[in-house]
Amino acid sequence: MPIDPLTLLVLPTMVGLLATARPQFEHMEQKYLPLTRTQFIGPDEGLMMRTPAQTEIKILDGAGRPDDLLTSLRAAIEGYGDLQDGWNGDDSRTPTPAAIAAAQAFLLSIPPGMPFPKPMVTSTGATEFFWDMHTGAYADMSFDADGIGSLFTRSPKGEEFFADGLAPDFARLPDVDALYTLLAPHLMQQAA
Amino acid sequence: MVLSQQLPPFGLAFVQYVQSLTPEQQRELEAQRVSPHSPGPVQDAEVVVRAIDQPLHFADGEFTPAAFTDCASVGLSVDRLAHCTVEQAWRGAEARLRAWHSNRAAAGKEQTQRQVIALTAFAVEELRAMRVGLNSNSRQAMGVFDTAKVDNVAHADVLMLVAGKPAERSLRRSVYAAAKRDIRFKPTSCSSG
Repeated sequence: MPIDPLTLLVLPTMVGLLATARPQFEHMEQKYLPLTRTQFIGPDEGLMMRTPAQTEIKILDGAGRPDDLLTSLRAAIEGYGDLQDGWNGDDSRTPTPAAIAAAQAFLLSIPPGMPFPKPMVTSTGATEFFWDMHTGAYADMSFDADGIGSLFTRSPKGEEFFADGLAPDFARLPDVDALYTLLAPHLMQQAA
Repeated sequence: MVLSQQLPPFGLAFVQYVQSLTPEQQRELEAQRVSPHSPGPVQDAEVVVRAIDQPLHFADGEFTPAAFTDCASVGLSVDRLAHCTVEQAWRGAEARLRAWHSNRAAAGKEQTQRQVIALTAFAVEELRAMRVGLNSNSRQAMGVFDTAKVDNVAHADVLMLVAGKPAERSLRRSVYAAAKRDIRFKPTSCSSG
């Protein structure tokens, strides 16, 4: 059966495009630095406002938020404030009101569509969250006694990133696009 | 040469002391007995277990990374299976917890709901293989020291050999990842008493 000239031209082009297609977020993986090249971010840099891309705003507006989970997470964080010094051994300390408030503010700033983290509290009184994804991606966010945040991430390839001096606002985290790629690649795919 | 008799008390002071040493001195210290009650330095081929007794250190049935923060501060207490059984480690953790509850009650302090929930096992070799830095600049990042106690000769401490927030967070994740591979809940042979 003869093949028409149009198919002969279009088909190889389509196959070629599909074979070389790459997710638009792929290049962002290069933003993750090995630990020895850790990016220390001072308070001024860390608190610098970052404007999300239009594509992010579009998809975030359309996503829902499981309110019951948010409520239980808020209650867990609030419960950390009821601990007393020595709660986990003689040297353990209670999270400060500033650490609790920062954690609550951060929780509320997590955009719809982003998976919620799990809360945790350390013996040193830090109030924290972590994401441990089935993809092998990992991130944790910690708030110290002054409510100052620090972020650690690790990609499935083992590339690590750390930043300190951060405000409790997800949208203002450094390199937030890379965080989306790590924790919610589906959002980046939708945006693309 | 690091002299064991000059060592500060185990806990925060010991961790800070170890972190102040050079990598060579740290290796020397790991190869020595650091406690008079020690049956000997911890060997690479050993397995150590850690009891987790804080409900707040679990989420959805699994450890949280916060359960291993002690590695950076006071040292993570573990028991050496070369010198005790899993059941002895479990019962020892329960006994220490009973003493802790008694002391809190005697001091009129709040009783948090601690109970031994799970054990996790670490291969010492894997802990000592954790590194920071890249390629030729990398170095051993975790140490295991034979901090035996008079009432528990199997006691050892896992601690970070380097200080600093980025290393702490990276290593805590590594220890957490190793721990969650071998989580063991209450052995059926152990009673709660």
